Amino acid sequence: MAHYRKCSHCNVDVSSDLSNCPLCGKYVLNDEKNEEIEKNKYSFPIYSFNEIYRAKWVNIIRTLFWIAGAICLIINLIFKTKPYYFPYVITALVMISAVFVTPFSKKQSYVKNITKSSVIISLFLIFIDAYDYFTMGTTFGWALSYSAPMILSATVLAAAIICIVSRRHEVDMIKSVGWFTIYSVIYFLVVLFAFPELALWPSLVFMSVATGWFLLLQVIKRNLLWKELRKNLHI
Amino acid sequence: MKKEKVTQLKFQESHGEAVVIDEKIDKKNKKNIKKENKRSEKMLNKQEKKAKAQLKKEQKIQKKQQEKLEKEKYKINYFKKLEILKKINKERKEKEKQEAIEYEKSISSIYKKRKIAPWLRIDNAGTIYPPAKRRHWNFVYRITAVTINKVNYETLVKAVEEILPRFPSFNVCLKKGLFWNYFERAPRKLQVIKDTDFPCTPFDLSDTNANLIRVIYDDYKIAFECFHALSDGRGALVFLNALLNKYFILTGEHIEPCDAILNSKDMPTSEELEDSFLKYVNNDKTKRPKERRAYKIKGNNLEPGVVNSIVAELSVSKLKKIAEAHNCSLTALLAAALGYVIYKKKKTGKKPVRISVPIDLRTRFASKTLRNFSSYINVDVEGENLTLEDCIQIFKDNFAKINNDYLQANINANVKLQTNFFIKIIPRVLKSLILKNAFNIWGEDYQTLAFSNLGVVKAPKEFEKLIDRYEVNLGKSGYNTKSVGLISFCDKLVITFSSNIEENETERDYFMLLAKLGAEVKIHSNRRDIYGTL
Repeated sequence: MAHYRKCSHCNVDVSSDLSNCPLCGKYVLNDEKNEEIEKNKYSFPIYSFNEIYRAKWVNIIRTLFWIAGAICLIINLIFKTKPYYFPYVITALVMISAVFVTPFSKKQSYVKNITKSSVIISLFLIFIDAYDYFTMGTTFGWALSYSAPMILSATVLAAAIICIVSRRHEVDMIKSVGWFTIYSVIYFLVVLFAFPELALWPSLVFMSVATGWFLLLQVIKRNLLWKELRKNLHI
Repeated sequence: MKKEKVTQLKFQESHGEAVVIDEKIDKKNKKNIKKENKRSEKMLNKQEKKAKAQLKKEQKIQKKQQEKLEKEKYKINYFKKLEILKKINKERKEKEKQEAIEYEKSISSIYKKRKIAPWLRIDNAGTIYPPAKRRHWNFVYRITAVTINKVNYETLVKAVEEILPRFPSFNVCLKKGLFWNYFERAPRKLQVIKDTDFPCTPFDLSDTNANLIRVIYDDYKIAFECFHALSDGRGALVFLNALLNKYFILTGEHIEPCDAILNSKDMPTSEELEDSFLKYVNNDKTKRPKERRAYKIKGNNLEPGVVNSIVAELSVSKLKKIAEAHNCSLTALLAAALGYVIYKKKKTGKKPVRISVPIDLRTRFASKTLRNFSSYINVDVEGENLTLEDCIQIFKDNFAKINNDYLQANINANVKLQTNFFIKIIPRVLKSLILKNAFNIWGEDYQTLAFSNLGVVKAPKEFEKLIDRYEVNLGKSGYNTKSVGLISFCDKLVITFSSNIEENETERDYFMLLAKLGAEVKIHSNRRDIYGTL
């Protein structure tokens, strides 16, 4: 049975595993009677703080990461350059954080994040392409028309191969290919109508690769694909 | 005589000379000897030094050789150990893989046999919880059964394995769709873990394969932690009781079957898995009253992940007598006492103290769902110079308002948004942003704290000899600093305060007030590292 001691201040019984009343903090042991703390049957465990300290350090590192970006921005605003270099640094920090740091800190699989990561990297490259064009007047389109669709095509290939080879990542990769198919069509249409002067063939390759693999998976893993689509697209 | 003298003299002379000569020789000899000695000493010293140096060198060489040997041995040992570790890891991974495959096979066959859908939509009330998450917080609560006998880990694991397929709405992980989040059967086997972390540790919602429940054990405790999107407290209590029932049966106890406990061999019914909000919604248009922002208890925040819990054990019969003396129900008395304590502490400000009391809708709408089906009533404690009796009257009046029309209005308002077509077709990412901000602005900002009473636990009679008490811990609140959970079993009512802040004046004043009213209060704390260590 659990034992209790009286806290004269709060008029409550305090569990024998505590030396001080948790309500008022008063010492409840009687030193004259040589009373000691007793672990009663229903005592709470003494909790481990390891995870809490780990989270604290992750927070500190994350804060330092963003402070570095803020310092860069401030310095660049004080010592002006043409063009400003802080957008490169900040977008790179965002990209690194999303693609590498977050999956690592959350102990996630990089394979599972392949879709998200490749889209973020391609957006980062397109941003640099556009920024250079607007600030330095370089030719626009190296990222939008070549780099991004190539990276995305490679990712579709990787996702499709992983899907066929690995049972573990089968579902995630089938979803990836599905998303890429939708994304590739939108991408192709955007390049076709919004940027007609740019090379179209890499975007076409991306769309063909994505839709091709989608159709192939539709043949090989039809049930799984439709189950996943039904779940993902439910309204 | 003369001759003898002469010879004596000659002898003396010659002898004296000889002596002198001898002395000289002796001296020389001595010198030589000394020199030789010195030389020999020097030589010896040199030799010794050389020998010592040689010894040192040899020792050094030996040491080096030994070190080399040790290093080699260590290297060999290290590599051997590494190899052994690698082997163990490989074996473990293979075992885990095999177990996972076997588990997958067995559970998928059970699901097929029982015709259980492999995925579920999140219920109406649950949709808010995944987007409302923060970095170190999501809505997790814990229900604990404190057992009289020591908990057997192996038996508990068996009980969990047997009970889990009976509750498909709990054996799930959170997946992200284009328009909505949804639940899918968890691919990982649920692990029974030792109670080492603070209660209600948030789940990693970004891990789309992770279970959203935890079964935790300690020497005399079996606890069940649940992400609120899966179920509310009442649903979770059904799961825990079924688990306890199975566990006790496996330990050899005889427990009579009763309606309150779901049998693990029964098939899960569609009623248990339904979203009762959608079932009971109608087209009645009843407006909910507009609310103002509520008073907040402030204090110094604890580190993220740390929760201070104060657990108080009270006698139900004594409390009932006190409540009868005040002519009110037990819940009204306890909630009013809390409202009164916070009201007294509040010094300035126009914001009212607002206690949010959840209401179980199952009994009122005859629902058997194990998923979220609860509403709430927010009770404002405001006015001038209120006494405890005034507060009790406020709560009594508000509780009297709760009728089916009031609850129907709540259900309709909740479902109205979710069934709107234009909201349906907004992509999940945008929807999450909107819901997150809505939760921030209108969610917990409109309440001072939540006061959740799970009521009396319905369990078989045999449980009375096996379980000492139940506890409900609501864990950290997202934006409020404190939350209160109540549950009663036999004659024991347990009130658990969970706090995000260091200050505990509210708890102190509340329990002091209850003690003053005549209740016997037994206090436990989860912070043994602060209030007493063994």
